[in-house]
Amino acid sequence: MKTDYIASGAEKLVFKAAWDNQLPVLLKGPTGCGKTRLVQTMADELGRPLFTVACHEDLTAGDLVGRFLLRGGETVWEDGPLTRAVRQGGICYLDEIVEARADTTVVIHPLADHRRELNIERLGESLTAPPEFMLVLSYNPGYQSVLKDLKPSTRQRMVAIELDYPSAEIEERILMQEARVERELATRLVRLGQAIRGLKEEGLAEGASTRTLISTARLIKSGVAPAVAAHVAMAAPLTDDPATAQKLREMARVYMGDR
Amino acid sequence: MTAAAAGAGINRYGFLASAIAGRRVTVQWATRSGALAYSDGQSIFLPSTDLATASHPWAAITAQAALIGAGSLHASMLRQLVGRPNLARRYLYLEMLRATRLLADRLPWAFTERLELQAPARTAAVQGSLDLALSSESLPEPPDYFGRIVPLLGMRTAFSEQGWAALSRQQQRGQMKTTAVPDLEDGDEGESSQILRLFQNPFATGNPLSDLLNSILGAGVSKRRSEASAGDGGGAELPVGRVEHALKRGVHAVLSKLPLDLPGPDEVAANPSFSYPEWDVHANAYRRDWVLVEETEAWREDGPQAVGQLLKTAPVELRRQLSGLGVDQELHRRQSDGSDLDLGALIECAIELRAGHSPPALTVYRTSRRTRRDLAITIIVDISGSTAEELRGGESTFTKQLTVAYQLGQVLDSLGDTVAMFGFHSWGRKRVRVVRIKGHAERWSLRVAERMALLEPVGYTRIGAAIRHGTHLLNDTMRLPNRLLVLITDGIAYDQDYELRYAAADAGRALAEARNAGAACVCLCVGSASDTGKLAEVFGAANILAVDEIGQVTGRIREVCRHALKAVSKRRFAPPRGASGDRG
Repeated sequence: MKTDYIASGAEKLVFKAAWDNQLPVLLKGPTGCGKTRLVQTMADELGRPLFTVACHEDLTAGDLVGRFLLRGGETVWEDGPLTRAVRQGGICYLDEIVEARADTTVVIHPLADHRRELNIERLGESLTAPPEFMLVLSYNPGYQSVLKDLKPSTRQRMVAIELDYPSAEIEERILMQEARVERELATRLVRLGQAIRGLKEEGLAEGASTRTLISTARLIKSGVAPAVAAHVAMAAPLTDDPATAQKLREMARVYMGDR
Repeated sequence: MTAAAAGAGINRYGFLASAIAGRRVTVQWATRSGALAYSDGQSIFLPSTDLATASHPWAAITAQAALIGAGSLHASMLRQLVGRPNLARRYLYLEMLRATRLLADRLPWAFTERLELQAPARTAAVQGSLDLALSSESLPEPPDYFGRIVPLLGMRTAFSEQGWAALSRQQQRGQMKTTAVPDLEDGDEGESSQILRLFQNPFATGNPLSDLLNSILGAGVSKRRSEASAGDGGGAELPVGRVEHALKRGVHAVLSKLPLDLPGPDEVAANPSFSYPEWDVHANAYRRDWVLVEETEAWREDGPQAVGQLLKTAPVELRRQLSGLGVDQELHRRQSDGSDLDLGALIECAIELRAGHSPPALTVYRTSRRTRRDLAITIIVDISGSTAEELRGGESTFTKQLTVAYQLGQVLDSLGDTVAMFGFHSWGRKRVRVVRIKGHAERWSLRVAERMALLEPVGYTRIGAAIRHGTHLLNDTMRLPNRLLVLITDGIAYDQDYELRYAAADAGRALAEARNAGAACVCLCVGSASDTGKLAEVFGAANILAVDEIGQVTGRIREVCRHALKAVSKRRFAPPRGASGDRG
């Protein structure tokens, strides 16, 4: 499927310029605002293979670089996604980088600065990245606990692109393109989304993302009643508290209902 | 369908209102007469008499919330509308058009599509709307769902928001009980200005309270001074007593309607209750289902207290201290996946294979991993009457305890731990009340401080029941591998038939049950070191932290918690005792 990312600002231009100049990119932004979609689109447009790694607490350097595995009675080396990206001159996308352990992120340092090298200790090998290789990290500033923040030394190696939920007008276009819904429905959904995002002091998980708006629109296209779809796909995932859910349900009714 | 039950609380529209207003706004039924909705800037009041509005209240709520969101209810504007209902209606109409354009991106479609709102906005700012409303230009009458503007109400909110901080401590503490006041109806010019006069006190120039009221309510200071100096102002002739009385009445009028989220009858009925056993040291046996614990929402009759001063953000040092709790880098061997091969396991595996066996699983890797921080914490705050006693320095144990609980909870929550927090007090074994401050699944929000403001230090201390309830929460509801119970109290138990040896023995039992079930227990005493000797006996000296000042908690809390957690992790696999609470 062709992926068309609708830009809110200059993010595509900046991404392209960073790639041209062999600079790594740090994408910042809330969940579901389009970070992954931007990377996919750019990999597509630049014609490079994309290696995505969803980072998590137990991700080790070995998971990124590669490791010895057992095959029959032998041990064989297998490249990790980062090594493969370097060898093939692809784009390596480390999603939610702060979830990875600090000692893991150290391996990307020599890749991220002017050296553009990947040291594979266990093989005694050092790879130099070709000009087409690009490192992209993403991270969600609001999501992590204070303990988990990117080290300044890592940050400073990056070109930071800050994304946020798109403006109402652009979000409408995204909905119309992604879920193929009418403008009116798109407008209603976007307004509900904007309203929920405004509820900052209510202890909700993150605000309704563009991703959840698209899911809602798709559910409606499949015949789910609009108010129900908005509740199950946008509002309900934000809370487990019955009273809060009730209030969100009421919002969904007012915004999506026909009255 | 739960629609009928849900219909009970009109505040289910609270999020709709808050989202549009851009700040926390509640929705309530109106207490004053009239068929139109109105707002004081913090709450939206709906007429319960008008059935059309009552069954579909959302449009009226949206309209009033939009006024709040667009800044139409600012005190400086409202001041000029006092006693001028026609002007207020014209202003309302113009502001609604402006607000609809301004907030279009977050208003319901069904609202912005309404016929009356298709007219283009006539003005770009509040002042413009006011000027145009003052002009002679003819404007349409606003439809009913726009509601109405009650200028004095909005100004009162301005007082409660800005005014409170400006009052001195003594004034805040002053006996400002709520009393009934004459209705502040805006339609009547005469009465409104009469109310305004209530706030003017020519005998108290320099009194911050009256100055403040005057400045907020817009009774110009210069006017009052000139009246006072001329000596012929209406108020100047009054006997002092009467003026003060009038001033007090005015203050009460301002304070009596501060917003207060009372639990509706449906919420009260739904309070879960639990029964727990108690250890009878004399009979050397448990008394089954002896204590009845009820979980309730925080509420006090005289409304929320000013706790803003107490609930300061925790110092960074406390965060640093607590961040290391329960986290360790450990090397795990014989993993099915890892960064290195585990040689020992690999050789064994190779032998097995060559010998013709196939090993059950290929666990030949090793990896070093930070042991996950899955820590559940329940903070229990003693809110019995004894904590209300003031200490040297004027603060009570109660306020100190709240401060500590707030800071601990905030830090632990921000570190990613699961935190539940509640207060407890009791009146005998059948009435142990556990007041929710923060639910374990709830994210940290303003609600925590709001509930703390509604805690009242009354009743007695039945410590065993509180510990058992905390253990129940940790073990049966939160279910994480590391569990920590933090009890913040001013002394050992005291309740009806619950003293001395009996109380100490039961508390000790409750703690043993908690530890057997894998929950570490820590006791914090802030401000009152009176009874800590006894507590130390019960808790074990290493698990108790008794300090005079809140700041002293920071340096020592980590060691105490770590000690308690370590002691428990050693006996993690001990079989739990079947003495935790049963749901009643």
